[in-house]
Amino acid sequence: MKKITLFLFLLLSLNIYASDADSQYKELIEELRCMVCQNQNLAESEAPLAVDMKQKIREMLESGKSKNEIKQFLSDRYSSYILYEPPINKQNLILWIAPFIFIIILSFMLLRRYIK
Amino acid sequence: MIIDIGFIGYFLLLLGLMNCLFLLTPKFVSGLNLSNNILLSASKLHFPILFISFICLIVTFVGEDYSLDYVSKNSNSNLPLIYKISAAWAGHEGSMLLWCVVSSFWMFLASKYSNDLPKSLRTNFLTIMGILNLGFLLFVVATSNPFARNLSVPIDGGDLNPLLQDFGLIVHPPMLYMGYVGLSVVFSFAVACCFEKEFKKEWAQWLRPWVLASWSFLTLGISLGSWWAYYELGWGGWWFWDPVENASFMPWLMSTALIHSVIASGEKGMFKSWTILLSIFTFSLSLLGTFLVRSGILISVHSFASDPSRGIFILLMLAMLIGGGLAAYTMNSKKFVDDNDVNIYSKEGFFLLNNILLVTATFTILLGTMYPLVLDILGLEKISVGVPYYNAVFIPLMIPLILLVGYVPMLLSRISKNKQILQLLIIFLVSLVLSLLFSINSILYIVGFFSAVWIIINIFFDLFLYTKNSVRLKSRMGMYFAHFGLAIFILGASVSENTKVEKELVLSLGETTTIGSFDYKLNKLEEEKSVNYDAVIASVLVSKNNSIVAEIKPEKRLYHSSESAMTEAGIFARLDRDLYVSLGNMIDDNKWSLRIYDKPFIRFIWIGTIFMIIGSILSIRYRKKTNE
Repeated sequence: MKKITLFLFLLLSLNIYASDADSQYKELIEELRCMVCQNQNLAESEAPLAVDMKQKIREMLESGKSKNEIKQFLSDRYSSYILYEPPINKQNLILWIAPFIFIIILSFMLLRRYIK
Repeated sequence: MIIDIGFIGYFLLLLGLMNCLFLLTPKFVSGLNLSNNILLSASKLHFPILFISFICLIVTFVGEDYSLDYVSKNSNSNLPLIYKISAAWAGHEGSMLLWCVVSSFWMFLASKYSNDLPKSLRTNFLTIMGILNLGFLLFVVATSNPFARNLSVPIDGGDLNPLLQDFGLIVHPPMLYMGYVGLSVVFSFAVACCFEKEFKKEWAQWLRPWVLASWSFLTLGISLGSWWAYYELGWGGWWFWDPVENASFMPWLMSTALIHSVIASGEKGMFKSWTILLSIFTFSLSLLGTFLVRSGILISVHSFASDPSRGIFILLMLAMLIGGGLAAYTMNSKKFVDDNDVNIYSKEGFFLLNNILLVTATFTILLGTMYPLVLDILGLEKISVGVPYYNAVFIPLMIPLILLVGYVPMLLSRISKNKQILQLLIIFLVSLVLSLLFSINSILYIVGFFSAVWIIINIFFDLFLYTKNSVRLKSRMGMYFAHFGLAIFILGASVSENTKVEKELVLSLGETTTIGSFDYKLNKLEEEKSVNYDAVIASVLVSKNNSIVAEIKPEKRLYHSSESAMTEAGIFARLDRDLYVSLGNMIDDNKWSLRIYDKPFIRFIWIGTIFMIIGSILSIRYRKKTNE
């Protein structure tokens, strides 16, 4: 029971700690892909495009835009390829749901076979 | 006198191919003692043949034989000797040859240490290893020959990628390959057991050290890779859930599961068919990783499509292995009858839960790695799967696993269940209070800190209170070391990730800035010329309360041959904290952009993996007697 509570607690509270602009900025640039690099996020990248985008993100945060608004703006502009957290939509449904289905089936098979 | 070393190397590769054919003799000439002897000799001979061939490749690098295409592309005359040598396995062709050498080495060991096995099991086992070796070597000769010639001989070579001119690269790939390919021993043995229609306890015990050894090498290889990325790439990250990293992490997770299930099979004759299946899948995932990395499909689906020969070869091998292995398994899986039933509240019951969680974790990583590729191949919208996805899916799977890991010492102690629960509850609360005291800024931090403390307290509780019997202690030492290593790793990862201070800023010469509790002064900028690069070396003086703590010297290097700029981070490392400075771009003559990171306890990440490896080695050395 403890396990389950802790797990739910974790899931529910993953996002509640985003606070001031600076830490929001850091979180954002770590979750966004540098579009001209080989699998690097914006925080790591020093490519000119990435530097421009970081500047843009900073400005948007300062003008009071929320994290989600900025993500939405960027993914509209560059496609959702820019988001390291794939959006939950029809196309990505399997990606998000399959792990749950997998663990249920595997547990069922193994526990039924071996636990007497 | 001119000896064409490249030719000798190539000749030895072909000789190796011939030798592999001898490995198949028992399949064609049955009933002869002679054929079995041929098999044994051939399985041992394969290693020296390929090893000398690999030495030849190194000699062509040192001797600057640019008539070889591979040498001319990956080395030049200005390269320091040590990197000329390591360049032999820095590119695709050479690293695949290294793979073959490693594979032949494992076959050599398997042949040497399999005397005690029943004859037919041993024959099948070595024959399957022979088939694998044949496949790998065919791949090298047919698609990735490092001894292929240039049409015209260039005056000087190209360059070794500057990122790879580093100690990390010299040791990372051989260690990783030792791990990957060591799992081929496990695979071959598992399939051979399918042919025997039996998986005896003694056989599982024979298999156990091979799993542990492969796992140790995998752990070392992955850890070195992560350490290398940390100090070489200049942004201070140590794990990015990059597909290439995932490719090595999947077999690691699976072999971790396998270590546990094979113990249950060896000690109690449980999970026989599951252990066999897990063995088959574990090596298949190693090969899948190789396919992903080596086929170029990760860089882009289109670059794969333009030259698919390598990828398709590996894919075919993968299909044959999984297909063949699973066919052998499904035809015989009903014959594997366990000696005992499993009680969920026992070591073996916990192993089962461990396996469910680890295999599911592997599945989610496989899904996250393959899903974007599949979407891309289908022409759907491209997506990226990165850190946020894995944090959301992987970490929740690890939490129950860690609760189990902490529980294990208590479970094995011989005290009553009620007392166990009471003590566990106390330890749980103590850990929780401790983690709430020390880690309050994020939920992930609390969870990570708690996990580490929970495991550590449980282990020491048992060590001080209950494990007085030295035999029992000896049998558990490996496990305690490995689990303690896991805790240290988690502690390092969660403390450094959640309390790190990172700044990107511009400093002029002589300027000082305060980050965290330290002052950083850009003190000097010097230019230095090395054999194959020019460098700017900055000197950053770090002080605390006006007394100097350290001088950190990050570099920016411009390599002559490839004109590429490389960052060499400067790191002041102490056990409890890394101060990390890397040079960005020059803004002005005396003005540079810098990244300054303060990362507490990050060393614990790699120290943890060292403990895990020590644990694994202790377990290999300690063999539990069956008739206990």
